[in-house]
Amino acid sequence: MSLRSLVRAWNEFFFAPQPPLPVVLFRIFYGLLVLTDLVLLRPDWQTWFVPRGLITPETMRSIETGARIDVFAIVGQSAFWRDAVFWILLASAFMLTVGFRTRANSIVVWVLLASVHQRNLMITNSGDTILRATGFFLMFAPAGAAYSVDRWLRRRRGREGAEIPLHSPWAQRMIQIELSLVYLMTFWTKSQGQSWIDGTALHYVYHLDQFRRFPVPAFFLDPFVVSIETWLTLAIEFSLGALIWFKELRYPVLLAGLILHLSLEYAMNVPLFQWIMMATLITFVEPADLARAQAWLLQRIPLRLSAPAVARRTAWSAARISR
Amino acid sequence: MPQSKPRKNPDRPSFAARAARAVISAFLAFNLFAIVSWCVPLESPLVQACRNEVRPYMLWTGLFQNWDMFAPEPSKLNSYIGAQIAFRDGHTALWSFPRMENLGLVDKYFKERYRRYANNGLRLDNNARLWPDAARYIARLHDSPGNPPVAVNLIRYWSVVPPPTSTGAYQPAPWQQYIFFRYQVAPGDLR
Repeated sequence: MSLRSLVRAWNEFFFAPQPPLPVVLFRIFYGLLVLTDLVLLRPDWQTWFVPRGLITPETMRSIETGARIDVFAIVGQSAFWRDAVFWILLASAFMLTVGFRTRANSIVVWVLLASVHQRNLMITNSGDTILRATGFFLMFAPAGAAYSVDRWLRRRRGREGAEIPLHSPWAQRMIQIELSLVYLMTFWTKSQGQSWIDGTALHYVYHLDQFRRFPVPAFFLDPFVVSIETWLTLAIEFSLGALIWFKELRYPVLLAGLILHLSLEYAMNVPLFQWIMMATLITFVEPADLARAQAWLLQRIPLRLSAPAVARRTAWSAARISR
Repeated sequence: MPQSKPRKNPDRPSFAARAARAVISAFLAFNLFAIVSWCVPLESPLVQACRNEVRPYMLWTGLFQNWDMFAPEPSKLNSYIGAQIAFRDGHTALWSFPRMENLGLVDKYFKERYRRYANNGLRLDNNARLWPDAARYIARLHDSPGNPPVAVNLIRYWSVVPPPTSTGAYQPAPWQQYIFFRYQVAPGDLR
């Protein structure tokens, strides 16, 4: 290995142009998740964010010190601005989802979401942390390059052709790395716990009443089966952090990840976390495979598209796949 | 008419493109360094020094993160936080933050942040600065003009999850409780 080859590998990994479909799809799911998060927060918005709520701004600042991005510090804590932040964030998340003024709205969503989190960090969970971190890199991504109002407008004005331009994937790579780190660090920390090694960890998790959602069938609570589940969890988390980078292993690992997160969604009440993780996993799907899936869908789903439009899109997808 | 000189290697990116790539690479390298040094579960002096360097950036951007879900050990406690409210006429009432195990499916989605706040924040001694705000908030929830609350005691309730048995039979441990904060309500707290 030489320094030159290292630089070449870096440039290839971060800058070699590719179709932006994975990050575009991620944008749509990201927007939908932020919208859902806001809907879930709305009934208790006043409890969490009024100056005389469960945590005052002064208390929050005394616990979490340091300069932070916080629009409330600029606009104040009045009822008007508290509600304005909610509605602006909601509207921006919607526009981000449909890809209208995508870049600007990704910035607004990130700034306001980070501000809302920083105002009351005591109610945020790992899902919120992922939304903040991936939202940060999403601002730099070509997230409106396809499946967006922006693209539709660009095509209508003749600024873009039928083909979606290729883009450097560096922002998508950072989202992938962020996700990979989540799994690797979780695996690393768990591997230092005795109960994860002796296979009893999930026994304790299953009996935490505050997390229970649907009843877990008795078979899965058998001590031997619990041990297998515990070690499988470790193995899948390691795979999602490390093995996912190998193309040959990626789809089996993604499938294992989906099964893990759907199982957790069934058994545990950690709203949105599993969906945020699954949405972020989309960034690991090869663009060519997404294009293939799109072509397959377009041929089967009775969208109101003319036959030539379907043929054109399918031809575009096929051309991308062959590259 | 002067002709522009043909570039030596048309495949080579322009100077502006190379400069942009260099700036982006520096940004990526810094972020990789900052994120990894922040979340790596090592406590060496070197890692600590790196964290101190990137701390202002991580806090400001909200990129701070640590990944220790159910790790290194999952919690072995079922717990919730409640309060005992004393009123001016001498009677007392018990109240608790929403308990997920008592809620329906939809409410669990909406109210989960109360669990997060109460069990992962308010319950812990190192978050004692949260306690007066919580006591005042509970007092305001129970305010009535003729009979205002005069004191709020915050209570931890917990039940240990016993280790697994060879048969898989599970018997939860009894609940215990402890008043961890006593607050005398001042008239101004209720406004």
